Amino acid sequence: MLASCETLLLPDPTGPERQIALQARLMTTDTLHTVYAAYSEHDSLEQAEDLTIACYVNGECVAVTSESVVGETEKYSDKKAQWRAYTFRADIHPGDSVRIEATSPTERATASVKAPDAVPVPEVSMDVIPSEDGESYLDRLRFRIHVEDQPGKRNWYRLSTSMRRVVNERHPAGVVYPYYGWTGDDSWHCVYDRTEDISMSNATDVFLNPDGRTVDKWTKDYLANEYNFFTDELIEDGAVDLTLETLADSICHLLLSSYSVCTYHGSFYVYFDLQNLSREDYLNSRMQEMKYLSLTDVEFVDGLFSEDLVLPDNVKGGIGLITVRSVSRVVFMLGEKYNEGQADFGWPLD
Amino acid sequence: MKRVIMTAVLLLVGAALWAQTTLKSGMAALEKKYGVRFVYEASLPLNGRVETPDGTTLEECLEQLFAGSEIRYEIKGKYVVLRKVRKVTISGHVMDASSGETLIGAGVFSGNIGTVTNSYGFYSLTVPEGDIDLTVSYIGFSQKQLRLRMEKDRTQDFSLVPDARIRAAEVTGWKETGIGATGLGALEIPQSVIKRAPMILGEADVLKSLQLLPGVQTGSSGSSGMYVRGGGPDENLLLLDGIPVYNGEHLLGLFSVFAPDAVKKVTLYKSSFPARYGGRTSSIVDVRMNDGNTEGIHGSFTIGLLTEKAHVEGPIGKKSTFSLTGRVLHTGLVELIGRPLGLSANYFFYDVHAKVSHRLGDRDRLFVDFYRGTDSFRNDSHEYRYGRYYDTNYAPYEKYIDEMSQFRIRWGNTVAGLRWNHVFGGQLFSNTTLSWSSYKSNLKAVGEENVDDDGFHTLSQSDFQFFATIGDATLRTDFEYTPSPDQTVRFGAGVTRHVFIPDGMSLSFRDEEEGKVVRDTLMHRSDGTYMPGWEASVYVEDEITLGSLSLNPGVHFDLFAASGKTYPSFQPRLSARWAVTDSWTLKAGYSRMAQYVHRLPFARVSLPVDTWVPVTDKIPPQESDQWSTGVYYTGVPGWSMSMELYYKDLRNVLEFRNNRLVFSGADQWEQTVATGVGRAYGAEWLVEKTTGSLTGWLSYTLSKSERRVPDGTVNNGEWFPYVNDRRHKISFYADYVLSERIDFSATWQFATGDRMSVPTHHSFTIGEDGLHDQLYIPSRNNWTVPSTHRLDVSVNFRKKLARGERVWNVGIYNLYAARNPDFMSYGENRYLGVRDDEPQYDYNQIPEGKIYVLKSSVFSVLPSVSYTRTF
Repeated sequence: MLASCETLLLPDPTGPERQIALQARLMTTDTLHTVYAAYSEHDSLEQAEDLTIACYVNGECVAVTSESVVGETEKYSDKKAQWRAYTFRADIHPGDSVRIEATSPTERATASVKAPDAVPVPEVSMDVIPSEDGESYLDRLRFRIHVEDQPGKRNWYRLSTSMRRVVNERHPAGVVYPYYGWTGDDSWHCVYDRTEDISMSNATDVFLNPDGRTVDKWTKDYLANEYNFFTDELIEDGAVDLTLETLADSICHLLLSSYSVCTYHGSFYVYFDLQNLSREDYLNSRMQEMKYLSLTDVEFVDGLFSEDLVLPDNVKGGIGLITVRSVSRVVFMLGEKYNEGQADFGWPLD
Repeated sequence: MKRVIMTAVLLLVGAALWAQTTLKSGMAALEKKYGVRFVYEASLPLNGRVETPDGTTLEECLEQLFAGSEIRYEIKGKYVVLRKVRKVTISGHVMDASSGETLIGAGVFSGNIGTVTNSYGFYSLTVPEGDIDLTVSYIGFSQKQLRLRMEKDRTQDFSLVPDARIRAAEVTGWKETGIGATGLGALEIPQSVIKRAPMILGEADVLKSLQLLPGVQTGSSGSSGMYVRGGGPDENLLLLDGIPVYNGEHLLGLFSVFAPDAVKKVTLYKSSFPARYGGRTSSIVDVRMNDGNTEGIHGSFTIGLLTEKAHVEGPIGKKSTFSLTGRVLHTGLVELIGRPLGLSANYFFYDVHAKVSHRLGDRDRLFVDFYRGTDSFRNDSHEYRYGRYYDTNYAPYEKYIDEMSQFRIRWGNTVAGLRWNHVFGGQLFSNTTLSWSSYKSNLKAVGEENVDDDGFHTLSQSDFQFFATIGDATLRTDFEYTPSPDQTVRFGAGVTRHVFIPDGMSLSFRDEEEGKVVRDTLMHRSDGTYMPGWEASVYVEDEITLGSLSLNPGVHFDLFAASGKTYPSFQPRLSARWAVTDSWTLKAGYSRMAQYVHRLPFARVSLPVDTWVPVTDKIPPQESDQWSTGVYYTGVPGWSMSMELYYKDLRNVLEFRNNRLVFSGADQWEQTVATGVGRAYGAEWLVEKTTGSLTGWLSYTLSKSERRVPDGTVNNGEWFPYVNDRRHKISFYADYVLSERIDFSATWQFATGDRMSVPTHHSFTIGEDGLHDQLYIPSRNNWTVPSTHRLDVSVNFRKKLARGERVWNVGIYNLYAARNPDFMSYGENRYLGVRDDEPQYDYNQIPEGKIYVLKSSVFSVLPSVSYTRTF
């Protein structure tokens, strides 16, 4: 009687019993696009295998698909994904009006969005910051990205970075390798070509990271705008120079299996994608980035110590967010290197 | 038929006119009849018609001739000297005869004209010269009547004798609060209610008493937080003898900082804000403290289940008094002994309030106020572990771990003030105040781990500190000019220097191996943004009575400067009261208010690390416009009934954007909030019984409050219910005096639940790092929490002693053990069956994936007992 107690309440569910949930982030640089879909219910998320997804660009239907596969699972989770991936081909350009329609035997959901305008391609320059230890593999690369704002309107941006490593192998003419089934012809063959995202530190950039919160080079700074989102609020139709840094060896280091008679050539690129986002897209991404820091994702989420996550939503007849990002890409070649007899590349390059 | 009626009307008018004469004609007739001669100044107004005098003597005729006029006559032989009646002013203080304490709101009236004492117990009444019958009255005191001959301005103090049988006072003229006041929404909580209303664990509380009034909502049950007419808890200005107090709560809102023994009077303004108040948009809580007993040393001490309280007051010489009050949680006394002995964790709070008043003369008084209250929580731990292990070669080794942690959090207010009251003649009163008010909070968490791992030494240290402070230095002067009983003009000005440091924080780590530093990281450091601000204000208001109509127009003007930007604010105020009949009164009012400071809460409950921040160049002042109207009925003796309607429009309210960072403090706080608009409207009914052995009230409030953030960063830019949007509230309070020795009190409160955001569907989302499960919340505050209701009772057993009185108070909080929602949380059932760590729940009852809400009820039935001894 005197003690406190807890009572479990089951709120009466409101809204439809089942509705289509859609998520998609379409890029103007892609031709292959994916829309993720599921059935959203009060107590569960169910796979939506019976949908037809149609894509309209500027009012014209450019793609229809009913084929889907199970979507990729959530990171760090062993739980099977309940969303399905519907893939289609379409060309989307900055300024296009895009409409996605999802229909099932009993439901229909649509989302209309306009691709943001193209932004000027940024200019990129690089400096090498020698390491204090004198070890070249600890050298840091400092990139300066000059961004010109689109005048006359509010803009929301993200600067993403990825790297591409290409390795070609030349087999000497006349050399026969029956075990491997080839005869050298003194021509180059590509043995490795991969592009992957790379995370760079914005710790020294006062625009992306105004507090300069991380002073420890070993600590990954989750507090400091990890995905480099920014708006033009402080630029106001002007321009800004952004600074990103990374260890040189994190890009350039590559070790592949190799043959002592071959010659190897490696080339290394960094891609800087300046993405122009809609406001909903920007808010959606920033909210989720902060989510991991405000504990709403944990089991005992309660809204007591944080405000609740009400994400932007532009799907009519369902829930979810469909966005288009207009991308301006800069390909920055770091350098290349020739090695005789081994495909072992590292910093410094030639 | 028409002609007959017209003729009759003409005859009646003619007859009436025949019975009247002009004043000069009347005088001429008397000169002729009695052989006298009237002597007067040419400027004397002798216009108008009067009743034809028909007295038998000259004196009778003169009384009839000049009755109701502003002309005084004097017979000097064959001459009758006429002159205009002079107005003279009587002024002074009304005091409690037993303690010398000034009485606020005491009525002083003569015939149909009267006034009430102001916040300093001072009154000023302008009357025609001559004999007057003066009556002075106040609730709980015997009335005093006095006949005085008024020939010139004079000072007259009154001392009233306490009489508990007097449950109502005859007061005419103006009142500051209630039906008699010109403004609406002004209510006074008598000290008897503060001290006797049953409260949690028997601890009388000022702010929780206000929650019994209509239009005042609470946060969670047991909390002191106040939401007045749709406003937030930081929109209430708490004044301690006119000095703002920033944090009015102890122990997460369970107690307020005002010790009831030191409180003289509490007034709540919910609307029709007098022009002298400004700085908050929802309410003003004006708390006046005791000055001190002039008659002798008196006091009391109370021992309850939670706190000890002591109060002492008395004279210092012949011209000064003091009042000293202290309160401490029992654990505070335990801390004094326990900490040196190794007590590892403790929480306590204390309050000290001191006041000294000095009477410089009949016209001047000085007051010195001081208040300090502090909450302190600490939790220290020191653990030493030893383990014996085997390595990969099965060789044994030993590991010693010495782990220490300290967690400290302290917060509190300091208030100090110097006040000077001065009376200029009898009609002009001034109060000048120089004051300082500050609120500080700081949190410190330090950890250290020393490890000896088979001879290999490592040391890991972490240090997190957070602090915030706000301080105000204010110089203010207020004037009160009472040229006539029908008019009081108030005006004044003030200037405040604000200092805000909302965001001091540092987080660092240090690791050593064998004495060599391998990591020394400062994750974040901020010495705190020093944010000064200046605020200047000036106001004027005029309270006028024109027959049955009273008006109180006024204007309050502020200028606030901070972050390189200046914000002017022109705030008109107007209230009107029309006494339709003796029983029926109508009122209407309009107020514009502005607010320049905000409290950023960490959570849905008040926490000590909430920070106060000023407006900036990006965050403009919050403003409100409130329109209100009311009807009041006092036709049944001892009862009063009222109904008030209000509509409040809010601009630049702050709402947290979705997912603000926990423990971000106020770092980059401007980016965590969005400005929006709000609207609140409602109706309040109050029925009150004010006389007899049984007194109390019943109130019902119907209200709605919602917000919107136009930039779309909250709830997609659509209207959503405010977090404290409670539709219905019923409050019942009863106080029954059985005898001089026993009295009972009871309160019953009911309120529909406030709001929270609860998901309705399962969904998923795309982040920059991939896809994630996500519970879908369709809109902010989409769900209504279960209702709250509670019955509290208490009884006092009193016994008069040779000196003073002893009182045993026995109470029960939440008599029928209502399970009210003190904390709410939601979750998704990810389990089946019974979990080992929560055996009280059987998740078999609900399907996997089901969204549930957990209601935590902290305060069940709580009996209390306390002992009070007065002397």
